[in-house]
Amino acid sequence: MSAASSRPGTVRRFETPVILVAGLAFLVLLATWVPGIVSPRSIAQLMIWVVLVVGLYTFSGLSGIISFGQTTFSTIAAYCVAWLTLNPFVKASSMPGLPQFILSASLHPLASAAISIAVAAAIGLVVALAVMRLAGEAATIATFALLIVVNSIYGNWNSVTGGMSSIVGIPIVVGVWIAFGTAVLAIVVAYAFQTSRGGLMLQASRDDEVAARASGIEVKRWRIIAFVISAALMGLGGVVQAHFLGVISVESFYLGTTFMTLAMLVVGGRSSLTGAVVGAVILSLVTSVLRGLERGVELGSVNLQIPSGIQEVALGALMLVMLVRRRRGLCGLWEARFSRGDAD
Amino acid sequence: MTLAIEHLEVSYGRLAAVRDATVTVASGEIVALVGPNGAGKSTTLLAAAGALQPRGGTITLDGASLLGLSPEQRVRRDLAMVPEGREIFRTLTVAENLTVAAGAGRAKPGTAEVMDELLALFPILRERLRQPAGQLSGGEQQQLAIARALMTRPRYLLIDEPSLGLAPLVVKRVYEMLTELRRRQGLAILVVEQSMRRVLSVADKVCVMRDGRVVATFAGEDLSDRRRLEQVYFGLAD
Amino acid sequence: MVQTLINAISLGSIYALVALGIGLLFGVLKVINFAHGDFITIGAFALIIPSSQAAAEMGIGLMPWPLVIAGVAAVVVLTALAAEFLVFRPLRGADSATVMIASFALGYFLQSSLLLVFGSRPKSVNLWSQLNVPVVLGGAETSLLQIIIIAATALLIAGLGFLMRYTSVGLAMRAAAENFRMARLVGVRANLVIGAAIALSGILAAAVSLLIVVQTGVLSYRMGVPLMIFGFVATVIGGMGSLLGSAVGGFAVGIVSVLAQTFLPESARPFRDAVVFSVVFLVLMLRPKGLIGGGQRGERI
Repeated sequence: MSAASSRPGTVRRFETPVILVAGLAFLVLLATWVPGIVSPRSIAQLMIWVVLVVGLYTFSGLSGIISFGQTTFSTIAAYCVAWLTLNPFVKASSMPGLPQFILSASLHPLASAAISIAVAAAIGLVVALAVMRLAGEAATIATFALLIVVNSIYGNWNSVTGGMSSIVGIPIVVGVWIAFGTAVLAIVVAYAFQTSRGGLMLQASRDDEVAARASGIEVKRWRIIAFVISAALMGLGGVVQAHFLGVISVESFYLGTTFMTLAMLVVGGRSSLTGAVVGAVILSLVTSVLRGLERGVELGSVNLQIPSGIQEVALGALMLVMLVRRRRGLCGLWEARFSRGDAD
Repeated sequence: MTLAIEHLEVSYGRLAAVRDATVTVASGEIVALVGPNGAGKSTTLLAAAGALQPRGGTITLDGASLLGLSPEQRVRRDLAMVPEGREIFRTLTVAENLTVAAGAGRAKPGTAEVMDELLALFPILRERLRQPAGQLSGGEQQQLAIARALMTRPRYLLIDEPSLGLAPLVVKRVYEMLTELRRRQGLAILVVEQSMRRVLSVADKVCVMRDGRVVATFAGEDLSDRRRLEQVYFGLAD
Repeated sequence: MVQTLINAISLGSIYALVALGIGLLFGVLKVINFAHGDFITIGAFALIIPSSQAAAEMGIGLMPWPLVIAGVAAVVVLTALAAEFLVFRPLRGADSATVMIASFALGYFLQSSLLLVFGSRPKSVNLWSQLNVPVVLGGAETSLLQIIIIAATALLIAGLGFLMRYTSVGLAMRAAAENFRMARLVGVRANLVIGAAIALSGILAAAVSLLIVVQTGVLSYRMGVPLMIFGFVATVIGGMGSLLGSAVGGFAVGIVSVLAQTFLPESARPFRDAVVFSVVFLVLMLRPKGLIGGGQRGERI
């Protein structure tokens, strides 16, 4: 359980998010001020991973119920962004089946972001109401089914989504600072929820089944709320990703992303917000190193290159080793603090 | 020939259930472990059977340590357990409940004879062989649970609250059976009970457990001092 | 009409086999194996010689049919047993969420390994295409393959039923499925029972590999995923942990799929799966414990 709830003083109450944000800010400054170490683009992508992993954590980490379906909400929000911000002429040719008021819409990114996140959250609510009727494993299977169903709908509804082909031309408005800002937002939202009464209750139910059963109905309600907040944060991640790359497809947030976010959460430690952020940072850096190696690196006269595809295999193996050797992840239940000695 | 549990410590997460328990059972002995609810009696038995990993202390059988052995390996060392609440396999038939235990034991000859012998001891089970065990009454389930444990041909039997939820007459019958088994096969029995009255007539030794510790052990002459036993049980004396 | 029925039963057969493979492992280990679909994929790729060339070259697939079956089964069973040794066994005693994530990670690992070795492009293979001949049965035209699928499934289910009912390993598995700890306390070897369950699950997966390759003639590194999803859905609506429920659930899902395929308007066909899942959601809303799995605590297998 989070020890933060019982500590007095506003400064100390916020030390975890402050430390996490400071750490991320350091990465941004490193990327923008010291050229050549790490590119601002890869730090921006890292921030988006932080948003997604923190989003996943808000439901799966706090409630202990694994969801394989959270990236669905990123897909939903990202397509919403495409519908609302794409040039109407482009839309008319690639997605002619859209209703007229959407076809003609060309909203400001902020307005479209708000609408897209709201849509993701609303669908999240409907899904949560259904899925939370199921117990543990069955709920997880249902979330997996959700991922597949939405993927198959978006992949086949050619007149509205463009089917399997990518949608290009979404305004690219996200750089490293905006990405950092959304990561901060996600961390603040997740932390506020985690330390609220509902968040504490969820963590208690995660760690102690007796407590979960004793307050069954209320736990269920908070699980639904957590699911909706998580859906909104995943939606935020989808929005930012769409505006960062300018391109989306049904594969953008499918099995690969689901695996990646889970791997980050598990490696960092799925029972703490610090773990979620640390996992996202570490695995982002590891992947970009591996990606670099796949492209080839000049080391003196030797060109070091690993076959492409190694990266995925390595990540899968890393996650398995982590689960077998240290199943609570790097951080366990620990949250970043200035003061020592109260690691839970 | 002894099962010795010494200075056992077991905890569930941060909650210490057993802090210091020492109980020894020599072959052919009936030892009772008594104490109030939550004293750590069942936990002690489960640790002896290998279903829980102790945090400290030793468990030895005939001088060899059992620590680190799985429950099924301990069964092969002739240690069997009848857990609290019987835990018979409800969806299996009575015959299957017995066979599954026989198949698992050491490859001793004469499984059929053992089964016959047990069914003679528990005639009611013979009548119900083909019925799902879930349909048996509480007393019948208790008999099945004991018979199932005996199918593994143990030398040591751990039995947790055999009287729980049974009518007094049935309980009497169960205890008669336990003494009978001891007499016939030299079976050593470690029985856990909440009530002391029940076990005094059959036990050679009574260990009293409170707050995770075995606080006193009574044997021989001392067992007739009911007043002192009760004082220890209720924590009025040590 | 008869034709639709045969279609439904043969599709249902495949789903039932997938669901049984998942249900068997869930029954004994209480683990949802998210890598089950990838076991199926591995079985399919076992037929060809490893290479990233677009054109597949048959390896095991060239042998006489009994050897093909044995070879594919051996590859899948060995993969499954390796997973048990390296992943599931070290995680024994971990909470079910951890094990689920591990099986998902295992699935991702297998998929990306296949991707690395075989490449991402689907490969067409030609296995036993002579089975795709039309036959007339009861006035309806169907294919020999569909009848073989149904017969093979019936055989496998009967064999599994016999094994569970009449052998000592089957008895031990049923006992372990109901109460794992108690089974160990009467001496049932945990590793033996789990090994048997995972090997059987592998055999069922291998059967699906072969049937699906003969039917579709295509290999791709994620081919097992949609099958697995239908298998999950079948186990959930059948009531988790009941083998009978898994089989019935599989047939139910197959029948609903074929009905949706037959009676949905042309434009809605691409959404067949979505329709099927909606039906499943409805079933779950009405009966959260599944169609077969009753209210009682003890899981049956």
